[in-house]
Amino acid sequence: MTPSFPMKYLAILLAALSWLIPASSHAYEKEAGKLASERITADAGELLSPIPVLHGGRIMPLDSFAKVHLLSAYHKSTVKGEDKEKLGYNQWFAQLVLDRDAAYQIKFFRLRNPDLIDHLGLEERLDGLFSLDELREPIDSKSDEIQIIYEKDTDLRTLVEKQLLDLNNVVRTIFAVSRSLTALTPEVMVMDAKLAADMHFPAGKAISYYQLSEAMPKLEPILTGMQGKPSNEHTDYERAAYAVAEQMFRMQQYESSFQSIALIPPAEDPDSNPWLSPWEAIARDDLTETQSSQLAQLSEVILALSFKEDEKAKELIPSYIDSLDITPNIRLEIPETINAWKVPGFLAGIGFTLPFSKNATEMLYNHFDSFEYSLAFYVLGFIFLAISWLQANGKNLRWVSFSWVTLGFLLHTYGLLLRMLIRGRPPVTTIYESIIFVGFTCVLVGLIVEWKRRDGLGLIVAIVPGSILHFVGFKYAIEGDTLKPLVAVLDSNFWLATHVVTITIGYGTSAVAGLIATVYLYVRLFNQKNKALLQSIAKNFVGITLVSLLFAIVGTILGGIWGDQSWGRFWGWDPKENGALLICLWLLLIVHGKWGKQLDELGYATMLSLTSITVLVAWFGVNLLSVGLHSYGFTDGALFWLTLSCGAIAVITFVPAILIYLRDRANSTPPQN
Amino acid sequence: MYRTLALLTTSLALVACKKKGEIVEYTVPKSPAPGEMPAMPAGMAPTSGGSGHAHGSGFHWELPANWSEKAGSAMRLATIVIPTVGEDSVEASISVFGGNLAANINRWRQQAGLEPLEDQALAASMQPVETRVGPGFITPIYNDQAPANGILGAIIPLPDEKAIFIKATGPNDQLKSIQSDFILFTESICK
Amino acid sequence: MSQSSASKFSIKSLASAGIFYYATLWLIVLVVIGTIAQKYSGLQFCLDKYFSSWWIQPLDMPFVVVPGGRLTMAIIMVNLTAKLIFSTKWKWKMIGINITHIGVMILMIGGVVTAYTTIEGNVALKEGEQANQFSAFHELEIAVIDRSSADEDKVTAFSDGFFRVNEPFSADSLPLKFNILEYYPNCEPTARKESEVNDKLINRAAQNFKLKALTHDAKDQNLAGMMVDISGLKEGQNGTYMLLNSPGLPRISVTAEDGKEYEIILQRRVYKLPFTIKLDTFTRELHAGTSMASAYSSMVEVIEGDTHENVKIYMNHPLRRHGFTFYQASFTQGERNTSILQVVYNDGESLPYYAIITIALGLLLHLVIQLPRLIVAAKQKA
Repeated sequence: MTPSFPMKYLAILLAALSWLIPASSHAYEKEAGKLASERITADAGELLSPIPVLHGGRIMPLDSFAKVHLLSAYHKSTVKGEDKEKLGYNQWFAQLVLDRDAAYQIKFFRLRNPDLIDHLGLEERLDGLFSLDELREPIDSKSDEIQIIYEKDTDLRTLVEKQLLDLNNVVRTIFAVSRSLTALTPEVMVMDAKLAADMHFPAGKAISYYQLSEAMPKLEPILTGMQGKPSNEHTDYERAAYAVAEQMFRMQQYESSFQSIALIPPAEDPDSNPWLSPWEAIARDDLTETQSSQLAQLSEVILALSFKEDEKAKELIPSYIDSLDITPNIRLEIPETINAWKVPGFLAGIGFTLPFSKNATEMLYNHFDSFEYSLAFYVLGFIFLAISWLQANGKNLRWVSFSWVTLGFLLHTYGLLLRMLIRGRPPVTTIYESIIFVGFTCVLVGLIVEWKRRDGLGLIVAIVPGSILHFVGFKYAIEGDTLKPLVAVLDSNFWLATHVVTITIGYGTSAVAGLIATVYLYVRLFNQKNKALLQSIAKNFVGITLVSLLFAIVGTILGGIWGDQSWGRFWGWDPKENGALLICLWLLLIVHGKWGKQLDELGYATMLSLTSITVLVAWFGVNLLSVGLHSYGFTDGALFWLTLSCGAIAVITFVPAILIYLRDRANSTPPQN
Repeated sequence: MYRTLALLTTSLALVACKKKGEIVEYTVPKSPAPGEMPAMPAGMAPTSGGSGHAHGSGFHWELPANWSEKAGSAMRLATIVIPTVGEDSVEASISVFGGNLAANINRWRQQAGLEPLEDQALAASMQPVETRVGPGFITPIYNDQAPANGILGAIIPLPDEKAIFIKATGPNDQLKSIQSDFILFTESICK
Repeated sequence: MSQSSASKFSIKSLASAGIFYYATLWLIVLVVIGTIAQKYSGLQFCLDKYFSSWWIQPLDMPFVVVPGGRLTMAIIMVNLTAKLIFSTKWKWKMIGINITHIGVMILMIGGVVTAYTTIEGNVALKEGEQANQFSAFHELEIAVIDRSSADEDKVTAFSDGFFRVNEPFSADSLPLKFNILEYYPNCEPTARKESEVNDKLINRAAQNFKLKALTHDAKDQNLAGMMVDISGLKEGQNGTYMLLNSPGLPRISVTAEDGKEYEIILQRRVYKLPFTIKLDTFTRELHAGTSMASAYSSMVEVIEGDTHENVKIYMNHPLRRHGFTFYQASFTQGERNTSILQVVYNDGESLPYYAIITIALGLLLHLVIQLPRLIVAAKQKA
């Protein structure tokens, strides 16, 4: 759709002006602090949420899209206003795209560093929350500086500079997202009622760019008719038409560059080909019929929601999603090749289809945070366990604790399974997933130990790592999209399922081993008369060490084989490999120390208790070194916590160990062997 | 056991051998011998211009005769070296970033020592130009009071609130002498 | 601590678990230090210094040496061999552990074979281009090239085993003799002052620049350089030349005493392949709507004598021929895409596979046999 002759020059002039407009327009009078919008209903967000969009290389529901974007700015998924007002991420998103005036006033950018706030010349605030409108000018004015920071080497940027860069990206991204649906939202008022009627526009309502562009064939003759006449002879009708056209050009010049919400799938292969954002779709003249009809349906949906016509939207949205035809129910089947090894013909393809789609599963995952509930049950289990220690016979309370922990474990497993279904991957593919999985392993092993021993030891080694790892997981989860697709080098399900899972189980069992040894040390410190208890715990040492050794060695060698298959190098002494080797060597050292009598029971327990340090170093420490093939996780701020944790484990181990040693020497009793 | 360990260590150490040199003879299919280049062991030689260049960002352009180009960096796509008069030359940077258009132009004006302009006057000071990426503007910024600090800029808006910014800095008269080539260059930018 | 073997040396004491204990302890120290050092000195350098070495001079102190990675592992190997021969109890109860130890032995033998036979390098092919050689990553050579024939260039190459200062070397087939005066695995050319120029410096680079030694680059981007005396050339050309491992530099052309012309370059060591490999096309797929790669692949032709074979090389699917394995490593884009294939030759490649099966089997067996005893229910206190 091309503007006609005189319009082009007008358009260029308007274009120049249009860049300058957004900063100053949209006078807004609502009180700061009120979150609810008046232009859309409170359900608009929920209605929008199941619509699929392509983002970050994968198809996701708007639910996830909204969550990821709010997290990127606010670092939490529910906006809290004054007076305990809350805005869920879906509703926040709906307001962002459908009621921008209100959204730009909501303070959802969290600036955690007072130095950054100072650098931007903003007023100091306790909570560090700012709105888009408050940040626009400061960010704009820093463009040159931001360019300079870009050109710097990453290692040379200061913390404030890195944060400024990130904030710049986040502000611009959210700004672009907020304006990506402006092709479909009602923006333009038609001044003349007769004109509106002729164009078949609904009377008295604002019109969207899309509706105008559909009506363009009818508008054009009016505009051409105006060209010959001098301006004082133009009728109101014609002036209204001109005003509409002018607004259209303005929108096209300024808004059409915002293409951040890719809603219209391509004609073929929606998983690998790029999708179109509404402005993109409108600009193209090669849309297929399907795509055109999808765009039209999308327009209906957005208009309905913009005018609070929720009932209408409720009908339109499911049929729109169906028409996209890209969210089939999840199918689990045996593939034709597993890592280049062909599966026998009669087995390949066998499988079954689940009664729900990835989209639906992902929405369920987003809304029901099973890991939070799992943590709650673990903590509950701990409370009952602690009370059981106060009693003479705490057996019943231990059973209650066991039940709670088991319930938490089931929810933990549920979350893991959901993730596997959504991604179509084995359980461990990123650092975040390794945290969830190690937690899972520790709780599983702990529950098994408890089932055998029934004395509460298993519960301790289940609850402590299980809970701590959930907390760590939450910290990772709020950083952004945890369901991202994988980098090419990792893209092999077979090795992910074997090497990575084995090693991660190795981490888990080693951590449990370490914890059992720590418990031993404290029991021996405070309750050394209970020789039977000490002996039974000590007997568990060797067993659990051997199990950990099995997983650690097999996992490490599998990693080597994967390296040989993929890069021709079985062993390269790079940090990740060395980390795994460290755990193996440490466990080997302990096991042989016992058999070679270099270590007595106390020595063994002390060394075993320190195993958790090797696990942490292998697991997180190597990412901080970032050398070699293995650096694909992120690291900011982690060094401090890693050092703190290792230090804590060392202190918790050595304090009782040294005290026991000194006590034994003082008593001149030979240490237990 | 310790004696054994010590004996073992020393005996094994003696077994260790140094790397031996090997002489290997082989043949290689003929490849054209590289031409003589001026001896310059370190640093990058600027490539000579006159033809189209592509860049990681995907933009291409055509350099007018005698213009040459240096590689860019993370944010800057390229640095263009434009010979002007005799041995003199000016440099132009090509970068892509976001920001309010008026604020950027006024910042350039400030660098040249000029007062910022209001929207209307600003729009009037710009020359529209049609590039192969889309419409853009040329912004000549010459301050007679400070003839050494001229800026000749070009701005091409892009999606996502970004734009291509081309900024040539140098003395007013030199910039004016290359202004028509600069416009041609800007028009040649395409994706 | 058993006293019986500490004071006497006997073959059997080689099998003591204590040796393994202290050797492993030392290995742990090496692994930790050698890993942290990689951040500062690069992977390859740390490999050479800590893990592939027999001796380490800590902090480069003179006269003080500690065992390096290779020596430590050799100690462990001897210890393990002695144990298998002299002190293994071949009872049913111990079968799991015994099998595991045999598996570890296989692994270590595999490690030894790999260490002494492996060659790693790469070859870059533009679409349509072919090659029958590849360049090693971590080995250099001085190549003396005879371009006189019209069909092909003849190269006489001296591997970096010769790169020792003041130890002259030559080949029977060439009249040239080399004596290295300075050699730096990583260096930087700096301008030579007027006063430092003398007649002995022959090529332009040597006249204008001298070499300044640098520590190993943290990202393994090293520029190797040397000042070498070349003799056996015609009058006026004998003297000191500067050679740098940098493809962009002009080659040194010399004429020998017998009139033959040669080019001399310092380059990554070239190994010949027993076949030719040709790149037909390279493809790169992206995750939808992003610039993140989801897959890379190269369609190549393997040409051996008269046979042509078309093979696709892509992530996790290398090409294996005659002991060489080709992996899709990387690429550069341009008018014609260039695919960079990593090439590895390793005689010991299959051993780790046998090792892992044996070790896993052994450990599982041992656990199955021993486990019921080891996890016991706590006795309830009265």
